[in-house]
Amino acid sequence: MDNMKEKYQKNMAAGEMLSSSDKQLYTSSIHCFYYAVLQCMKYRLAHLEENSISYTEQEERAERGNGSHEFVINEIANRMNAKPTEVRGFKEDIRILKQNRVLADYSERMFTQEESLECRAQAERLITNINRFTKVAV
Amino acid sequence: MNKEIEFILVRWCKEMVNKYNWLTIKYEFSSSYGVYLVSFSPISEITESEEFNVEVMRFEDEMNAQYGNNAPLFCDEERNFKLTDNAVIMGAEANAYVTVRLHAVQMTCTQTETKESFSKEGYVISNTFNNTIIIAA
Repeated sequence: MDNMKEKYQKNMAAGEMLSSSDKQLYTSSIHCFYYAVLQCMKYRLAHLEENSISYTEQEERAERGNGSHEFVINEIANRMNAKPTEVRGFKEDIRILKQNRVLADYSERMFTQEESLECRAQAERLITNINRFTKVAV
Repeated sequence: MNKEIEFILVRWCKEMVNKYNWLTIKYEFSSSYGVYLVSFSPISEITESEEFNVEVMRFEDEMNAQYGNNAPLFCDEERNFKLTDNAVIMGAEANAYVTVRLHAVQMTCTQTETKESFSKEGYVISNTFNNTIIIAA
C-alpha cells in the first residue's frame, strides 16, 4: 500500500480513538482529522489518472507558492470533476477544518466531544468527496 | 488587520448583493474562530448560478492567499457554523426583513417616541443599529 494512503487511514483511525476516548482527548483529535484529509488529498494528487503531481513535485511547487496546504487544496480542487458549487463547498469545508486544526494546536481553546465529532464527520465527508470527484489510476 | 479585512469584505459584499438581487449575505466576527464568518443564502438560487459560485470561489481564494489563517470562513446557509443575532445582514433579506429589536431601539430613542412614530407612520424604520434595520412594533 502507498505510505501516504496508509498514513491518512491511520490518522483517521487515531482521530476516532481520541474523539471517543473517555480521557477527554477531543482537542488532540482535531489535528488527526485535518491531517488525514490533507494526506488523502496528497495521495490522490500523486495517483490521479490525469494531471497527477508526484510527492516530490508537490513539495517543490508548494515551496514556491503560498504554503503547502493551500497548494494541495487548490490543486486537488482544480482537478475535481464536479460542479462549481460542489468544488466551492469542498474548499470551504476543508478551510474550516484547517482553521479548527490551527485553533486546536496553537490557541488556548479546548474542543468538546461534540466539536470533535463534528470535525470527524466533516473529515469523513471531505474524504468521501475527494474520492468521489477525482479518479486515480488503477 | 481585521479592519482591513472587514473593509475588503464589506466592499465585496455590497458589489455581490447589487449584482445578485436574490442574494443575502450575513457576516460577523467570531471570537471563537478568530476570523470573520460569512454565510450566503438562499441555497436554491446559489446552486443554479455557476457564475455566482465561480465568483465567490475566486474571492475566497484571494482572501486565503492574502490573509492565510486570518482570512474569513465562508459557507452556504450557516451549514458549517451558526451566526448570532448580531450578524450583519446584507442584500435581499435585509431589504425585506422585518425585525423587532426593542433593546436596540431603546439605545437610540425612548419607548414613547418609538410608539408615537410607529403609530404616525404605520411603520417605523427610523434608526439603524449595527447595520441592521430596526423596526419598532
